[in-house]
Amino acid sequence: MSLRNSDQSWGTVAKTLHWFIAVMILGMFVLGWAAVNYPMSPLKLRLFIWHKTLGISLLALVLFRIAWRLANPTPVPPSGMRRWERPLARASHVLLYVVMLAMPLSGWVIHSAANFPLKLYGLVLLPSIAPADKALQTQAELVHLTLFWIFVALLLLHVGAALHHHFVYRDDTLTRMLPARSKAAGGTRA
Amino acid sequence: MRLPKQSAILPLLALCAGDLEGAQWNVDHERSKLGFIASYDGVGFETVFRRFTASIRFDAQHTGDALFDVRVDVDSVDSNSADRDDGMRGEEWFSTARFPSADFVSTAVRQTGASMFQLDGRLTIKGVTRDVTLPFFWNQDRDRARMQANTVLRRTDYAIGTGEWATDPIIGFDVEVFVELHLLAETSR
Repeated sequence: MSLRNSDQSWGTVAKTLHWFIAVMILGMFVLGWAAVNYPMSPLKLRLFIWHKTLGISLLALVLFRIAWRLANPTPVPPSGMRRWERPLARASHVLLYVVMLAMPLSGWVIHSAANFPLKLYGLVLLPSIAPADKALQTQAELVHLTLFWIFVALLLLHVGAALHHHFVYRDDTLTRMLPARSKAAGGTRA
Repeated sequence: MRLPKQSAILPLLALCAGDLEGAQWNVDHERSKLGFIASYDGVGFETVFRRFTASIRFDAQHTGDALFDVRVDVDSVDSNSADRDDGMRGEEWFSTARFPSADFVSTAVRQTGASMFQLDGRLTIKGVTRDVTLPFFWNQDRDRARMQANTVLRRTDYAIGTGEWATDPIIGFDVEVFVELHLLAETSR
């Protein structure tokens, strides 16, 4: 199996990025929710520190993922899709990338406006991208939360569509993203 | 006729000058700063107290008469982070509702170097009083003076950060206190 994509299959790099980032995003939902709701304590601060550290790491990973996607062919959509489904699929994927970027960026604005220091992995001090400002912090928090719900909706659509392709259209949309299943095992299995 | 008159006034003037220039000082709050550097997950952050009053009597030549009496309005804590400032006002930290002020009153002052002095005194924060020794630098140009002091306090000595915070290092135990006062000699009324 190739590292790079072809116009029929996802390469190892794209698959690894897809699943690794997927797991991290779910982990970030849990960490973020826990950090916000946990009572004030040293653990709460640590939950925030890890949420922020992983969030900035995700931002870097997503940027790499976008660069990788642009530098590779994208496997063509399966042929059985209805006409209106193609632009919808495309738009939802673009939106997913936008939200994957906007989520950590809005978090970074909250962090900067709240003006708490953060050393990534205890090593590198994260620079501020916004002035210390309570009003700005509150606005960015609202954006971050709104993006979260948009993200949840997009993920439900994404997973729902993948399952629909697999069980209803019975095409290889889902299987070709799974590890160790390139086009050989994919395709239509009745 | 003029000579005896002058000679009579001179000692009196000298006495007044000594009293006015050398002793009582007022804080130039615009330029002065009093606060501390604490750490959050190993990264220092600066915090100042926006309001404090200081009654200072000091003459480098007569340190025996010196008196430093400083009162800090703890509620005026400002670390340029609204959330953190609110946190610091809370019960587990400064508990400003119950302990609105921190106080320092000197007990003795002595010279240790050319412009260096040492201030012994009693520091009260959050109702806990402890003896502290504060080395300070004093630079005076007639009716203006600058006083600079730094020392490291352990926050747990004053019950700053109770409960889990008392043993957890995420908010560092050592806190560097800094005082930089620009002073003007009190002029005659």
